[in-house]
Amino acid sequence: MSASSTTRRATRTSAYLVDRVMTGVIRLTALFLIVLLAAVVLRLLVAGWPELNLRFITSAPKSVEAGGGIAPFLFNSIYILVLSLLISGPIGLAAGIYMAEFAPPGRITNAVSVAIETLATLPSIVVGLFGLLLFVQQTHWGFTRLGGALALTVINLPYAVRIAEDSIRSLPTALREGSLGIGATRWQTVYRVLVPAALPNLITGLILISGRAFGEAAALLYTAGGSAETRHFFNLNPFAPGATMAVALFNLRQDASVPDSPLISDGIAAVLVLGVLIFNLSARFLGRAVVRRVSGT
Amino acid sequence: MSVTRPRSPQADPAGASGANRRLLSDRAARYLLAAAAGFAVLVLVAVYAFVAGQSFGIFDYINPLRFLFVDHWTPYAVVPQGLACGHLSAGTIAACPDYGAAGIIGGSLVIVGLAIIIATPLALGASLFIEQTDRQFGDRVLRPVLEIFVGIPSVVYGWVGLTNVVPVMRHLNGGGTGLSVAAAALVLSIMILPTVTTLSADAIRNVHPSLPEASYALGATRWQTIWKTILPAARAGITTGIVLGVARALGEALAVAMVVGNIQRFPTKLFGPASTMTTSISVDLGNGALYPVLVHALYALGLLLLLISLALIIIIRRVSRGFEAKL
Repeated sequence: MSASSTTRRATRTSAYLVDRVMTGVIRLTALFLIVLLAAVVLRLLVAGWPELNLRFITSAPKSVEAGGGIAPFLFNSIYILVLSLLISGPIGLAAGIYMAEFAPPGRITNAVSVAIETLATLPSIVVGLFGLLLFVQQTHWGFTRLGGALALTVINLPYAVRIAEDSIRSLPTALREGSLGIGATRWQTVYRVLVPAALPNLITGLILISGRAFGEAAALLYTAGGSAETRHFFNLNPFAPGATMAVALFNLRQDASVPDSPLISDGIAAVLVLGVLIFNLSARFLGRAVVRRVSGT
Repeated sequence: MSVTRPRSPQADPAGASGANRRLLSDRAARYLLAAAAGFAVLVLVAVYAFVAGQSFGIFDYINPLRFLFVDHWTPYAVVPQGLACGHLSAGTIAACPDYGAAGIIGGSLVIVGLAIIIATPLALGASLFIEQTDRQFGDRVLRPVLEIFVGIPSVVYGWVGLTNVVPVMRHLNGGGTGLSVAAAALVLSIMILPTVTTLSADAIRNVHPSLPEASYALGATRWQTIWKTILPAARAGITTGIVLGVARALGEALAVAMVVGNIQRFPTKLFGPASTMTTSISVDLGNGALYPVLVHALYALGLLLLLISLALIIIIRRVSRGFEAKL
């Protein structure tokens, strides 16, 4: 009796001890992760700090001397991103609405959602292979901003569909019932009631997609190409080659012709990280602001 | 929903009525929306078809088994004058370009495997931190921060790897370039950590509260509850997170290409250079104009990547369905 209660107490003490130790291990792991990620961001921002100025992001790169900027790359990043969103946004919204509101449950719908899920996990370099074949060689365009935007669309589209589907699906059923109940058709219900109500989520989703696509490189390397027009980079010609910042960062590492290429790389990396931060924070902020405006509070 | 079914126009002779037009546009809209969903499927089919179509060319040159299981990749071999390399045969094998990709495929598997081995315990610990030991800090700070890290471009991770991880590897190895399997695995593990952590935390959050409550009521400690109740219950979600991490690591190209050294042989040393399927595509495709057979071989590597990621998706669906069945 006393022996068994001693063992029981011993087990309990050791269980408490293990609990303490493991809690410590969990906290240490998290601390390690936090320090690691903080180190990565600090390193990027500190190293890129000298380059984070207006001259760096508004002037053209130089080929032999130091002190070049990244303006054409930044411009191409934004241009290709916007162009691809113009394509994937409407298609994604339409497909998402269909999946959420119209698709009859069953095998075909299930297969479509599997296909969209599969599309989302395509390795981006393979999308680049596809784009090279279709948008560069078959069309005889060569490396163009439009080809890059189309390749980027392949990457964006599944996320756009998923976000639209989720935002529409998560709306309260009462909205649909109310609209249908006063005699609206389903399409009227969708565009007069559901899409406006889902707008905050749709906008947040669009910005989050942008944040992801902003730094895409592998799919663009062999579609938009590695070179940029440095003299007339502000022109809107979709058939000009369009190296983006991420592609430039990949190519710069072995470009010995620019003496300060490590510094420029640090600058590009910092601008990319700041871009991600801006996209993320504005998605959070705008999402909330739109909610407030639509709900009228 | 039968209320919204369009009446047939014939039944209503005054077919121009507003109600009827609305019902027609309702139907038209439905077809347009369905077409958009169909377009997404078409894109997927097109990617598979085009990549597969280009890749079959390599199998006119060497047989698939040699491509998959022989580690001998010499695409830039200089063909001696007078030798025709139409199809690789016993007579031409010594002199003609060879595309045995086993070393490249093996490089991918080794590097991704190492990255997952490094990332999984860290991600599990951090997700338990977020959902169990320190929920307030985890929810308000760590989780949003991790979501931002998911969005950091992979080339940026590659650049950090090149300037910070590679020199450390050079030092640890006592020489060489530092471009290595170890550097690639570390960069990949840092890159997938936020994804795997966030998904594992979601899985832990989705465990029904009645399970840990019952465990605590029986007098279990927190760790006993985590180990015996929460982790088993969240198993499917955590597995999904890890498999998605594998998919992301396997598909990453440029970050790895920046730090792996791009030597196309099976890696035998942790601190030695290697090559992966994605890095071979991204590095060698630039020479494609002069080496048409090489391009086919690279598309074949792309097809292999597609098939592996398809298999990973099937695994994820199996895992989550099996789990639902058990509930």
